[in-house]
Amino acid sequence: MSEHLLTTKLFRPTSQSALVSRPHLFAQLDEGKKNKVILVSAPAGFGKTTLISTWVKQSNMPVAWLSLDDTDNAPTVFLTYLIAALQTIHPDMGKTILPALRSPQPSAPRSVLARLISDIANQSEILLVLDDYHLITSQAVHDILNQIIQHMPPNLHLVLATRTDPPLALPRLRGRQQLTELRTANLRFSLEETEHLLNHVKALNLPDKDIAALNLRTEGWITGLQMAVLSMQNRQDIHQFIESFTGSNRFILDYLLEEVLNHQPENIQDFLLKTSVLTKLSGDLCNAVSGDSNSQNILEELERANLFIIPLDDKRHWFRYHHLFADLLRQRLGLNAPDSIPALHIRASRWYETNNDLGSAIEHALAAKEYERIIHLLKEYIQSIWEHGDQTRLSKWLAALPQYVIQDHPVILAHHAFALCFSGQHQEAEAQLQLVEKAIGTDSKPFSSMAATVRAFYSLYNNNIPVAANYANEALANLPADQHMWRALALSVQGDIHAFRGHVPTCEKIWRAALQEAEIAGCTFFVLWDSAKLIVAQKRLGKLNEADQTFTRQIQRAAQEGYTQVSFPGSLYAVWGDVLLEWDRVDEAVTNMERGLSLSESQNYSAGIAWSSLSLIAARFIQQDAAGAEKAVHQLEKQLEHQKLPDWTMNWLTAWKARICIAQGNLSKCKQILQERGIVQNGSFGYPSEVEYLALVRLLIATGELSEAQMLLSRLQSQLENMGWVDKLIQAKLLQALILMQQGEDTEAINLLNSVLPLTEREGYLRVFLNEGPSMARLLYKTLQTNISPQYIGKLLAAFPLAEPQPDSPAPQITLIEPISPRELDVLAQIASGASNQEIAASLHIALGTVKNHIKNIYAKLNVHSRTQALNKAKNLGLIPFPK
Amino acid sequence: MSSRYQIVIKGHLDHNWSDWFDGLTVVYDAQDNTVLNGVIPDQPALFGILDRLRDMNLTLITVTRIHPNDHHSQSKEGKT
Repeated sequence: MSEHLLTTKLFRPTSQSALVSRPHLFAQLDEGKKNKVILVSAPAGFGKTTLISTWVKQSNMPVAWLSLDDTDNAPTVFLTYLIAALQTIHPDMGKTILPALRSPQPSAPRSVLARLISDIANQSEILLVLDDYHLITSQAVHDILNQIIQHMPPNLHLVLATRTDPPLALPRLRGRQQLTELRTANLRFSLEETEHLLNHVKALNLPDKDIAALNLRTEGWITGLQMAVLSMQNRQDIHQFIESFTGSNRFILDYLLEEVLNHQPENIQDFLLKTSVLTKLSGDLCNAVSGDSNSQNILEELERANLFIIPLDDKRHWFRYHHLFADLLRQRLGLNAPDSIPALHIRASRWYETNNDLGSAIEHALAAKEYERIIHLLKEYIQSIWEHGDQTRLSKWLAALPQYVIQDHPVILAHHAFALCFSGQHQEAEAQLQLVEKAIGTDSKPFSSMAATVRAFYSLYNNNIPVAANYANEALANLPADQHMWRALALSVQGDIHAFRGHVPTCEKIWRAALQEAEIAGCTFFVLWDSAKLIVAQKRLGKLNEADQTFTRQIQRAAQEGYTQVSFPGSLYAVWGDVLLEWDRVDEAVTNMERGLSLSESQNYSAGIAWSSLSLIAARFIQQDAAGAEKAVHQLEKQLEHQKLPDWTMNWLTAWKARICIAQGNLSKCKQILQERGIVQNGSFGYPSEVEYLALVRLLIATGELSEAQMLLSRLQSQLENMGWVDKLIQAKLLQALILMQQGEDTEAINLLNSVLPLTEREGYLRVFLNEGPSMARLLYKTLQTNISPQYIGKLLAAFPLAEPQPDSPAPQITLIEPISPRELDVLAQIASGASNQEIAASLHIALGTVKNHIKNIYAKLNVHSRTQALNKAKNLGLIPFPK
Repeated sequence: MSSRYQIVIKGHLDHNWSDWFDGLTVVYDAQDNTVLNGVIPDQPALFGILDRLRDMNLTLITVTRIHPNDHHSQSKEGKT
């Protein structure tokens, strides 16, 4: 659990001293367990919390208790506390969702909730109590509750305690009799209960008519009765009191509070009034505010005397006043000593600051309207805003500050604008920036550089690259060196811009710098984000080992900081999967890619979804799972229909669709697919269409248009070299080597292959060879025969699958021990066209006997026994082309 | 838009509660119920006052908006 969580909100308030037991209400609540929701709706002071708390205690059901407050109006805060409350029953509940809540990007509440609900459904009976629901005014949180109610698992029992009927879908439940309600009328004390309280529990021994009068006057309101009891206990002449009290029409609380207060010693009165400004009380805090040094004792004494003080934990560390009591005290303080109030708030604010609760420190400073102090606190608070995920409160605070105050501190607003921007509220972010710029002009360097960063970010998001580039450069030129978080953000955006322009080495350098800044800033979230980008760049530069190291280091860090599910970016797993795939660790790769996909989906992170999906298509293709690859393609296409995914998705998707068609022999469809995208021989390149052009090269090879393929390939290779896109360059060179081999230019082919071997050996590349099939095996074999890097090439060849099993050989062999001669190839070509031996002899101007000899040799070399087998094998080895 | 409102509450609230309710004046009717009277700037402010009444467990009897041209209030009284 994060250290920022207030465990006091999860504490079930324990019942105070001897109470009247109300078995008929317990019975109603017990019945209520059969329904979906139990609603306890009554004004303040009717004993809702006490009733539910005592009922829950004797019910022996696991209870998750959450005392709501204003901060729970932010959905992420609410969900975080909800999960924390459920975790008091079972520590694993909602664990997989927590990281998603901690990320600044908005998660899709539906999927988060669906998982939480299924976690709950796996448990046995659970009581979930939400106390003070009337404090929730946010529609987003109401929506969450409605969803829970709609999909409520049968083992969950929801209890809502509130002063106002909540605007939830309860009327429908009421209509279907799935709602149990305890309302004001139910909670009022009956005459019998009043009698029991006054005469039996409190031993006042009052006559019936007095009981009746008190019950009437208070209308069975427990708080009124309790205060009356306090007053009566302090007096000699109880009858006098009852007569005056019941004869008066004065507001009960006023009347009784005065009674009660006036009978307290003066130092206690003083204490009560001063500490009424606090939302919760501890001995230390009260000392600071009241100037007393004996506060802990006073608090415990007040609790013993039943003076409306409620403990918030079982260590008697924190308390709070009953809401009514606190309001009354505050009202009285406002009458008696209004000028003292700001000073009291300031003392509280200072105490909270010293005790690392900046949020509460700010709230008190706001109440005192101490603007300088608020600014000072906000500056500190804002650094860690990413960890809090508490933008709503920040917005509220900023709205409470007058314009002239904020004007002098635009940096805080810049932070707020970025928080808005990152959570997708681009327009609101821009509005904030403009507001400030109108007020202060554009002179403030720190502010304007931060504003530039924000603008760079959302310009990039809107695909406005040139504008984003200008802003990013401006930001980096002006951001001070110690603004590590802002520099990390600006660098990240700048890296993205260079990625768009296809400058791979530059991206790597910039993202590495961004990562460093993020690490210094200590912002785990951004560290992980930038790591995923860096891994992509490293892979593209052919630095597979470095990419792997980056991943390993960052995953360890994530685990240490509690981001074990790393929901954002889910793409971190997918990009590592790509590296594993290059190393032919296919099953591992698929596991990681699937993980990346599901995490990205849960966060609705579009780039992660696109990347993971494309990686999975590649993996299925490599596994020669044609059906799987096609299914993955269709899934991604469907996704594109209802969600905006990054533009580059189409480039890679097209390339894979094309490759799948080629593998299936569907060359015309492949041509169509590429043409529709404008990918033609003389077309111009532009990141990242190069991947589609590589597919076009493959198509040209498949159709036998080798010289066209070579022309395109040589253009493409220059482009890839300029971009520094090493791993695609390797692919291109290998394709060119294969073409050269097919044209009989073996020496050149071998030289070209040799040129990439140092890199591929160093970085462990395997798939880039395996993916090209038997013809690559042939090329490698030829290279082996020239005695170049025999060990490494032997290793590569061993990785190729066998075309035919060799049961007697101890080690795997390649299929072709002795190459087919050119003459034999001619014969094979004739056989492929269906010619008989006679016809072959005639075409090639050789004797029939010679033809038969050739065929005999071919069969031996191919290790086959028939024409059909020979043809099949020859096709598989690339010795003769596939039919058109 | 600000308007003049009149809010009737059951029971007798002292005059010094005026500050707590944003400076509305406190007077009493024939049944010794409390009548809060004054200009409220907008709906959120009105509901803020009603929330405070709710939190005090005070019983709301009527809420009436007073037309600027009226000398007498036009109220629709609900039954309690």
